[in-house]
Amino acid sequence: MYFPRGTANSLNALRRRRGPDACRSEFHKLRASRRAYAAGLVNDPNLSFATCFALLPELRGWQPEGELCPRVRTAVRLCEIIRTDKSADGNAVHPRYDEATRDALRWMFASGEEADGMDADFDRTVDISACVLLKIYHEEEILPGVVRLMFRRNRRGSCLHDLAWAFFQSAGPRALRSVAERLLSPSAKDAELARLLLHLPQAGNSRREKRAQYARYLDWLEENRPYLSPTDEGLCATSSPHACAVNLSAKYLNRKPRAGGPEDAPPLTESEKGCLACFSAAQPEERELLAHFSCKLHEKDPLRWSEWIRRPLEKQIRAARGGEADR
Amino acid sequence: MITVAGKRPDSGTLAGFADGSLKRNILSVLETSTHRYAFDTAAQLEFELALRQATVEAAHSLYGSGLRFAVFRDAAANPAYWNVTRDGGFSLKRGAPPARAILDIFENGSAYATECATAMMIVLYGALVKVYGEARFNRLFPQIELMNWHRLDPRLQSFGSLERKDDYFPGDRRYIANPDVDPLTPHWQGENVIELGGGLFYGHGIGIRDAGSIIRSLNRNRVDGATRSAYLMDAAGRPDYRRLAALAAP
Repeated sequence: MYFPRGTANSLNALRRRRGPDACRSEFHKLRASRRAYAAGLVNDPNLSFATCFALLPELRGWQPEGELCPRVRTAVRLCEIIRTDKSADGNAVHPRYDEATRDALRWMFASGEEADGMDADFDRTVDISACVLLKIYHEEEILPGVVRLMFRRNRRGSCLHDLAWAFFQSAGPRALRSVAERLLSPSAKDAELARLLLHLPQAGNSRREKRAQYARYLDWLEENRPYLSPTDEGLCATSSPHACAVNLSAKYLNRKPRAGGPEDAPPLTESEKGCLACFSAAQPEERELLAHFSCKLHEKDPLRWSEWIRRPLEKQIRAARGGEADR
Repeated sequence: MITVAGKRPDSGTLAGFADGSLKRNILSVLETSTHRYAFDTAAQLEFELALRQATVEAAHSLYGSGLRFAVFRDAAANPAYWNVTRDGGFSLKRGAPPARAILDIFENGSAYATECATAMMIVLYGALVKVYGEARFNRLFPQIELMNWHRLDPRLQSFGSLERKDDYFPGDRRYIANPDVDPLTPHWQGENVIELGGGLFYGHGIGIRDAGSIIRSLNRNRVDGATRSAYLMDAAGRPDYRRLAALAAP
């Protein structure tokens, strides 16, 4: 096999054209005859993670280790941990979540997506790289890729559980919106998965019904966006998980979270504490109504809102039931 | 508090069908609860007690079956009865007798591998075979899909959802969540368990233990610097006993 000098694309091309086994076999011969050149091909920034994964048996235990670039070395180590930790024993040695790991994971996910379905262990490794990137490094830039992969897998009927878990870990407004767009898909499978991930009921399949559900969801998202937080739910726990929950107390008080998280929020004023005590006395369905009403009224007429929120609970509920904010 | 057809049943009636200590324990919680548990007929109550007991027995039996733990991609099943789907579920083979196929998992567990949620469905189906008998079970469930909480038979849907309850009983499906799980091992994100009574739970892959011990196992698989412990959620999944009781009527 001829490997043109100075490019890793020949390995990628070989894997795509003739499959992972042929790629590994040719690389094995190259390694035996032209070791430094073989290492150079693997270290090339253009190498796809799928090709690296195909070459794992050749790369594991490569000595001296320093001949491989840090990204490949880290990726090989991560693949090994993921491969050996599928049992319920949970005795894996976990990696340090440092910048080198982050860099390797970004590469694994970004360049791995193109070869989705190549092999079950490969898919699992790509999925777990997404899990770590979202949960540890909060790399929300990968969410569109995660959503794309989930829907592609769903159409094929293949595993999407770990990706769904990753999605549930950090389902922010951007990710929710990108899932909501699939409600409009002509594919019934897409719309069904979108409804599952967004916790929406079954809707009709006509274009009009799909558009109506989509529009309602976007309205809901717009209203609740500042008050959303991920839940501990997922497809492992329940058949109808909530990706995120609305902080009704914050919505009722119109206290939008700060960029620094809950710790960054100023303490509640005495007046807010009083309002919250009143709110807490309401029944769960009344709280939802009050939070919605409060949000709408505050947006429309802040002066009327500050008068309303000081009323006794029963009067607040009566106003909310009467839809005072719409007048 | 229990009511049958709107009335408090006398203790003699209840003692008549609480023929085991597990059923008696469940009855005692039902009776002493501040929540009102209403049954249309005594047979309905008797059915729920029987199915709960069968669920606990099926959990013990599955634990001893040799069923292996595996993530979905490594799921395995006896090809004589089941097809393993691309997403790691089990689909009953055309022509395979449903009850035999379910019982085979309990009898030849080592030929099967799955994760904890699917194991809960296997426990429930095993219990249903016991209470209905094989012939009726085959008529009621001619098609079975085992895939965590998805593709559930509509009559078993509520077993897959988690809701806060006033009381918890043996036979309930519970969930121990692990919010700070290390993302490298997402299969440790939580454990589905069957409440067995006496403070014990069965979780597939983890065994029969008390909640504290399962929580410690999950906590060992948290990310470095984790601040939140795994915890038993204040919720349960239950089959619709009333609806299933109606299917048991001759």
